[in-house]
Amino acid sequence: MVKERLLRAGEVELLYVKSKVYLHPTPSKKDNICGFLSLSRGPLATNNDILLSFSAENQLSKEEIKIYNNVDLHELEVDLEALQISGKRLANAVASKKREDHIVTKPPVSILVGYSFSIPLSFVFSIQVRKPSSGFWHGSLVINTKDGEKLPILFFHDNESASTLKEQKIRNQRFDPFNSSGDLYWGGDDFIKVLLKFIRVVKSTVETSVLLINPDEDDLRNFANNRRKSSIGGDSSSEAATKPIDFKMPNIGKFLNNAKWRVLETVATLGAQTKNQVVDLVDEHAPVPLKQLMSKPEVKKIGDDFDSARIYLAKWAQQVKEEAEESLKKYMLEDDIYNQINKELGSDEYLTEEEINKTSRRDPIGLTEWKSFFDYSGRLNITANEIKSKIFHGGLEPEVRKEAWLFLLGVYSWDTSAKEREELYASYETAYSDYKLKWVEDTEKRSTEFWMDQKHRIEKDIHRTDRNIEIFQNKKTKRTSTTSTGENANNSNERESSPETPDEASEPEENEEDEFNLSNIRNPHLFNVREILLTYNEYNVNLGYVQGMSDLISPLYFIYQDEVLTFWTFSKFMEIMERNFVRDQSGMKKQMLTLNKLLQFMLPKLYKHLEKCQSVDLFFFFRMLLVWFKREFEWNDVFHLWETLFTNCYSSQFHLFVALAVLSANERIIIQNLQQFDEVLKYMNDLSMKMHLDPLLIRSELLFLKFKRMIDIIDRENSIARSSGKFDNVVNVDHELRQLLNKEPIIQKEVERPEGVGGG
Amino acid sequence: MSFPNPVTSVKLVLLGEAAVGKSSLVLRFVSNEFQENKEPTIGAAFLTQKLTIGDRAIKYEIWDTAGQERFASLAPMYYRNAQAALVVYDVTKPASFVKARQWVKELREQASKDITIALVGNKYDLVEDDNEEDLVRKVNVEEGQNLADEEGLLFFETSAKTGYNVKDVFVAIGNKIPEATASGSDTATNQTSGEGRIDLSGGGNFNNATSGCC
Ligand SMILES: Nc1nc2c(ncn2[C@@H]2O[C@H](COP(=O)(O)OP(=O)(O)OP(=O)(O)O)[C@@H](O)[C@H]2O)c(=O)[nH]1
Ligand SMILES: [Mg+2]
Repeated sequence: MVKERLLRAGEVELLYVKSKVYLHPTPSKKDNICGFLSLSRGPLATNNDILLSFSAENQLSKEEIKIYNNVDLHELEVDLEALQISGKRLANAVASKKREDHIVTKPPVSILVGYSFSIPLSFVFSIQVRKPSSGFWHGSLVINTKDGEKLPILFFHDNESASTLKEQKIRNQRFDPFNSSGDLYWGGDDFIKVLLKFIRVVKSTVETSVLLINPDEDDLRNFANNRRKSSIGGDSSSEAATKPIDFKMPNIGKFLNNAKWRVLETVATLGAQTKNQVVDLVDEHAPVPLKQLMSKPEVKKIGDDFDSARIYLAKWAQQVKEEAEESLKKYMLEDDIYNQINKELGSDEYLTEEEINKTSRRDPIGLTEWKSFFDYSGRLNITANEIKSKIFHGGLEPEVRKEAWLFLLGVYSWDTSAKEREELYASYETAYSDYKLKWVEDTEKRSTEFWMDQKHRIEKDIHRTDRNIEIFQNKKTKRTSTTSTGENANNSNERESSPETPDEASEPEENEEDEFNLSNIRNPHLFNVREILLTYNEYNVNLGYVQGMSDLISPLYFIYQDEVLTFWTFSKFMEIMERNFVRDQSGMKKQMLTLNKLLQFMLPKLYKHLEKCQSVDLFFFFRMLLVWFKREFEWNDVFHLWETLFTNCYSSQFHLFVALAVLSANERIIIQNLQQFDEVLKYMNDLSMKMHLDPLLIRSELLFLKFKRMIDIIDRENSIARSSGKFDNVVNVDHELRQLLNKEPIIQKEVERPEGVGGG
Repeated sequence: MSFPNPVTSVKLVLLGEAAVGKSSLVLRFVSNEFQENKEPTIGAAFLTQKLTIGDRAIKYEIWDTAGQERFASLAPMYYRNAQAALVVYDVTKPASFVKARQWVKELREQASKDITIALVGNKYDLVEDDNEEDLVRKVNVEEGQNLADEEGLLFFETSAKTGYNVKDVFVAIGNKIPEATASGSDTATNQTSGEGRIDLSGGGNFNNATSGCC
């Protein structure tokens, strides 16, 4: 039981406290003054006498700080009712006992004594509410007194205040980070809520962010257009006080404009049959404003019969969540994001603070930083591992990729000097022409059915790959690179593969028929890509060209726009990707199997559910794994993801952890909404272009760290068991799982093409 | 609230050599669009479209598969519990017709017995104004029709590009799907979905992953 006693003179009962409220007297951070915003009431005071105070921390005693902090964290909801009741009693001037742990010395009533201030509510004219969203990092309150004075602006440092963080967390868990007006919750919300309990507050219709405190008629006239008052509260009309502000459409309209919310519009066309599911889902996942929107009759009246509604909704709910996470980021400390993900992964017990810190993101490496890694001779002056870790945790600026990817893909080794690289380039150049000549000069080869088939396959695919990217569009484009063997070595009649080398003179306007005459490539870049792929077909005879490769080469070509460098980066890339394309599909099967084991190990609940859906073959990962998520992310993100994977920073199989993260991020939705194999397949298929790369990469990293920690723990326990002779207790970790800790790439080469078997 | 018609769900799969225009046909049917440079399909894509034929509402659940040979081993996943299949070839590419024959054979052997198959010769627009001496067409209408007659298939020549005959293919399929399997289709998929799995087991150690199968 908390002790209660009567207030003595000079003491007040704290009704409301917000910690970590700051004054910013100068623009410099170090001058900020930290304190508590409070509402408090002295003995026998009426609501009008309630004090609104700012008390600087450094002016309070240790004991008092403790009390303030306590009240700050106190359950607000619970107390509001009680306060109001006691407030009514107080209006009748009956003294009652107060909780001892809410009693402090009365804050000085004078304005500005050493930055603390305190005024009775009856003295407050208006409060302007500036939410964090409207261009300010911190939300703030501007208080004007009745005699026209402006008190120092109160800034709410939401990321420091214990009560705000707590509330945010609770809302996050409920997945409802929005306050009742549809904005993101911030520290000032509670203050206004409490204020409404004690005093009449009227929103100015001229400037809606201004709240008029207990205004008289004249005030209202000045602040209200057309005398239209919008009363949002008052102690007399408690009806109005408790009624939440009506949700306004324009707010949601803004959301809907955002592409991610288009799914919501889909909801409006969903089936009547599924109406209940719709409602359930909305109840469960949607933030308040959306719930309100969903309960609108025009949305409810959705008479169609589309039975995959569930899946759309599930996806939509996920997007809602991501949206919320995305915007939360702005207001949360970075660490909090990590903790949040980490928490969701249930990995508290496994990951140390230090490990979590390791996952912090950094800015992409720019040209200047990249240059600083090399000494005068062009040799690295930091270790390759350091660079890789930097790339892993932040990626590269586009202009750095041209050079950096040559190292990442092993075209140049990290320990070469600039001079050595020059020599290497020369030999790469020669080697490329040699391979190219193998098909260019061999008319007989080029007339074999196999070769012509391959050429046709390549042409079919490059015509259909990334044609939305500018350089691959058929326009009047300049030929950017002409490589040695391209034109000089042969006259074009000899080369049926490229009878008409594209040149700038050819007429610019699109001739539709050309598109379908596949040999007739007029875009010089597509022409180059074909040359490279035909040469690769020669370079790796067993594998040749397989569909999917055009997706792998196009980002590389985009970076280099040069035959030699694209060819060699592509060849190196293909060394690790070859197993994805082998004829018997064993490389893909093996990866899906490993992923299956990883899933069982890391997300057993989800695994069990997928088992029920008969989806544990993880077939839906086929496309993602085959071309390393190229079809799932926007063009620019693909580069970032790939360079992360190229580093082999933690594991050469990190792409499997990315896949695992995709599942982990969608775990709840899958478990709650997908029951059938087709549904799972469709859901996963449709994730394409809808995932956010950055949170996914953090999630992947945390999953990896957790995985590693789990293996470590098992190993430790095993060695204890062994040394004490309890061999029965030894847990065997699957070889394939352990293999995931390895940074060495897994290479699987295609076998020789059996007689009579076609390519592709 | 009233439900005008029961909706028939038709699970449909597209098969055929790479680049014959499977994705383009689907795109034409679903959004009445044509993209000159539709990207090669990897794995498969899933789309849905609703169509009212007479007093029946039919919802097509369409699996558009990848044509490349190397991925052909994945196709059974998609056709095993399909009620209808479109086997597509390119009228300007004889090889694609050979491939179509193989698909029909495979479907007859592997797919559900009462599957409705339509043989579709696509890119009709390219051969529309063929003249005597310079034939773009490489597969005659008769060849297509013969195969269809032999195997009891629906047969159409289409153009995803102009839209010619595209809707007709789907309407014809819709008409052939009996209403009986219609409304209860949800349970139907339920029962069969266990077989729809590709056997990725290879060495056999994947068995735990293919529960309910074999
Ligand atoms: N002229 C013409 N071109 C077409 C027609 N249908 C498709 N195409 C073109 O043919 C190429 C291949 O079309 P897709 O729809 O991607 O072929 P697909 O069968 O889905 O190919 P995969 O996904 O690789 O199996 C594209 O460039 C299309 O624009 C058509 O009816 N007429
Ligand atoms: Mg396709």
